[in-house]
Amino acid sequence: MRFSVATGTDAGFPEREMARGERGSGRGRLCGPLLVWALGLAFLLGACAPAEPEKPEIPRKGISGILGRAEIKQDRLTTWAEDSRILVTWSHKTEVASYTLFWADTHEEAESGGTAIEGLTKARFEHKELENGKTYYYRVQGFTKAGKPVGTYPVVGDIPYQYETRRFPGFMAVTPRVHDTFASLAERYLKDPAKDWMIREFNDLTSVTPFRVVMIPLESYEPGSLTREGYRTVPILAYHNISRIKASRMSVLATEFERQMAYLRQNRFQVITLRQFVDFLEFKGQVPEKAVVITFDDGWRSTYEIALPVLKRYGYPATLFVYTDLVGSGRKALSWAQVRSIEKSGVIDVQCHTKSHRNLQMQPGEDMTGYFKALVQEMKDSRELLRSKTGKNCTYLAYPYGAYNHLVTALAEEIGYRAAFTVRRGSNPFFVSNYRVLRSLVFGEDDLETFAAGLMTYDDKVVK
Amino acid sequence: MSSCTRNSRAVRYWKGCGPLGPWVKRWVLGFQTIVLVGAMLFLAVLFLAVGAPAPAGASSHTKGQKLGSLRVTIPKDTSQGVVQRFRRLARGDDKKRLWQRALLRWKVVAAYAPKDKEAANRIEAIETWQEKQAAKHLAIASAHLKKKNYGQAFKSFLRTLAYDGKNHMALSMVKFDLNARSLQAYRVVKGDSPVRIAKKAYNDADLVFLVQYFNNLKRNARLTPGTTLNIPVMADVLVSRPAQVAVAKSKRTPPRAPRATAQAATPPRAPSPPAQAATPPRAPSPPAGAKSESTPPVAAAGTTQAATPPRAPSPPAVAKAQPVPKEPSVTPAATPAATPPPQEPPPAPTIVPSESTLVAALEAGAGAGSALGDLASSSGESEYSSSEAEIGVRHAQRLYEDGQFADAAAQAESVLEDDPTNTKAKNLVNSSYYALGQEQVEKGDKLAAIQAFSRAEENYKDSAARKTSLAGDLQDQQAEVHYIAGVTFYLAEDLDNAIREWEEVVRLDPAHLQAPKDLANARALKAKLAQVQ
Repeated sequence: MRFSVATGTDAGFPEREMARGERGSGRGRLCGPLLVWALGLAFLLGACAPAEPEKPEIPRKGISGILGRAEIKQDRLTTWAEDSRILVTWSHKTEVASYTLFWADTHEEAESGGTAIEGLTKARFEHKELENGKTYYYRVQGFTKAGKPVGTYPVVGDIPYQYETRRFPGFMAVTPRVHDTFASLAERYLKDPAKDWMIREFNDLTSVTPFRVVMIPLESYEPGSLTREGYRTVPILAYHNISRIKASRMSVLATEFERQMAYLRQNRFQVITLRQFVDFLEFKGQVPEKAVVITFDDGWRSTYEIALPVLKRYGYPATLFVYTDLVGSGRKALSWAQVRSIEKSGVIDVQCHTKSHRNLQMQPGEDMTGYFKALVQEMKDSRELLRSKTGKNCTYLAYPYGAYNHLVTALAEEIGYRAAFTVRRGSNPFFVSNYRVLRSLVFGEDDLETFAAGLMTYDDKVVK
Repeated sequence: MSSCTRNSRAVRYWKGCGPLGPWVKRWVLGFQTIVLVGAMLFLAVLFLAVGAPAPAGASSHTKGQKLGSLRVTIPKDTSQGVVQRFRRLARGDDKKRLWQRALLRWKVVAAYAPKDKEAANRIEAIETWQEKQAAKHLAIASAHLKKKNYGQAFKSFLRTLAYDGKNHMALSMVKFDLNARSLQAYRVVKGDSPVRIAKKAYNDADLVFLVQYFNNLKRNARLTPGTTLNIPVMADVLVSRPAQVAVAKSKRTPPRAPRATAQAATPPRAPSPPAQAATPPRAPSPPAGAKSESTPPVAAAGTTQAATPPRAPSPPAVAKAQPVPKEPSVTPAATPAATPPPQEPPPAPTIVPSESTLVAALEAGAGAGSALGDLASSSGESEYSSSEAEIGVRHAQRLYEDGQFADAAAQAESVLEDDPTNTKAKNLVNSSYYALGQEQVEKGDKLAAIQAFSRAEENYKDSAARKTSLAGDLQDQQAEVHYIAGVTFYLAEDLDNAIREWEEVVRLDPAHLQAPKDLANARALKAKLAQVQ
């Protein structure tokens, strides 16, 4: 089930299905044979779940990828185990005067009591001289000056151990800790949680098992995802508006958008960030099997109101190319506050789409000097404005209407964009020009078949 | 019921007779009971299986610990199973011929099992295989470049990259030189100013702001000859300026009508203002499988290894008109010269073998048995003693005399790379490229000629002037290139782009034979399609 960039969301799926199965069995209570069957089925289901050693239900914490951070509102308690010691940290609350940390050998004991360490003023504690290989459980309680208890922190367990990391040329061997996921390992060793697929693919595992060594490729072992047999290509989806009521050419129905995301999930597409894609373009990185990039153009309010929650739910990263004149211009457009909030979400990355969305090709009646000035202004000013309003330095550009010429691409390169995007249909191998990247528009009238037909992720016709 | 009476009590119960019979039959031997017992048995087996910690080497594990809903077991050896798993994966990669990942996975095996013979053998085998194949495909690529099969060359460079991901040359070929680029390099010559460059490159001094902007220069900036500037390709932008471009064109291409004769002319023309940046023609179809738009490659501007082979087809008619022996061995006698090379090498023979400079450079690298990447960075090797330089120059001189100008240039350049002050080598480079340019002119390949002339120093003979006039001629070919691009799009059922290309053809050459017809056709088809939809 778990194959996307982010983790945490889909982990709930099997549980939910199981619960449904058990509830269904309740109906058979009246007739004997059915009851027995249902009981057998329930037992079977119950017994099967722990029988998969590759799927531990790890309590997920803040490090669980792009997604996790935005959603967790609960008080956080994290542990970091090392050789004979455990570092416990938790989210600080301003009203708290002192914390009491409880620890115990079992989960139950820690929940109800355990050994108390009182009078902690900082939101961290280092528990030393522990027995390696043994599990320790922690719980925290905050108290205000008046002695009123504050905060509900979960009970978290961890195991001190001589966790090992060995470096070899080209890769690294790591003993995963109990709470580790591919995303946390990728964040720690590859400096990017969105690269979790690289570890998963190289080890050919579906999940991380604590204390079973995992190999982490330190650099791309297949740059450009090019082999003698063929090469991976990345389709980039370009959405504009999304509507709850009516579809039009440039506006996809919300239910349809959801269906399309579900299609990606069901068919094991892996949505990657634009940055990963550009690394791949520059032959510095590779992409996972069946990689897709999702982009939105213009900056409509629906991106924030409809697309963002769906993307969060699926854990899919996306990019919003915003043209700055649209922002704050009306009811249907995003406000700057929303742009900032989108950028902060960590799910959607905000990038440039010029200032006024004019066609960047030379228009009739335009003189060369005026045209050139307009181009520079379009490409530079929007970037400056975006920087001043959100603090974000954008590095990618989408041409309005996908229109460009040599001067436009040369200027995009000169101004310092790393890549620029057209709306020519197609899937990108690494060897497309950085300033003429193909993107497939998703139209409101497209059915799922049309949508699926654009998702070509492998090709071999140039090397074969 | 007769059976109930005859048999023993047990059998009677079994058959459902007697007072307890029906109960036994329904509950003990009934369907439900069998299922229940079966399920319990199944569960028992399952719990046994789950209770045992791991599939492999259960004995080596300590007892599992419960951590929330997670059962954690700490194996005695955390890296257990790594070797087996990665051996299995690596073998799979070997089978699928995914060499790069196979190599890294075998390296994992070797790291955890240093004495493993299979891993060591496979690593060595894959590494030598990759090296060999990369060299082979690089050679093929260079051969295709030589024949100007740019599509095939692209393919071979891609294959090279598949075997050797660190080959900078193949990468820059695939990503830049044989790909669409919008910035071209311009090497400054004596007397250049931003205004003059704009005049040369765009035939329009008013476009000086482009030169200024892209190089951060003032209008009257002083430029050092030999430095390289980046200027944007303006072909398609200028085309969309009908009035101005007409003027520009008439200025630029005076010898339009007698095209063939102009090309056949071997003696250099009267020197016109020297120009470097030629506006290259648009290529017919991209080598990339994707139908990306055709765009001009950068005109070569004398950067060392990044010579830019343009992707435009040479006009076949002209090529036929000038039969040239292909093999170097057919070269007619060249005047042998004294061993120390003179300042002015002998004039080039009129009929000479054809080779692109780049190809020569490539082959020089491959022939020396060097790994592919070395070519681009060969200067990083050991110091070149003066005697070695001497040998190199002599070798280059001999090649020059044999009429193998491309090889000679490459050889001399490699000497220069290690000893930039070597005037003999410099002279040889110049004269070789000049001769090569002449040879390409005779063959009718103007792009190659322009390239060759631009590799020679600007003030060497009249190379710059010849380049300018050739560039002018090339402008005319552009229409043809657009036409072919249009056909490609048309065949790929991309009507919009086909129409766009053909419109450009008509704009460039209103007297084109095919384009107006095809354009009308395509438009009609498009209208029909729109109707149907």
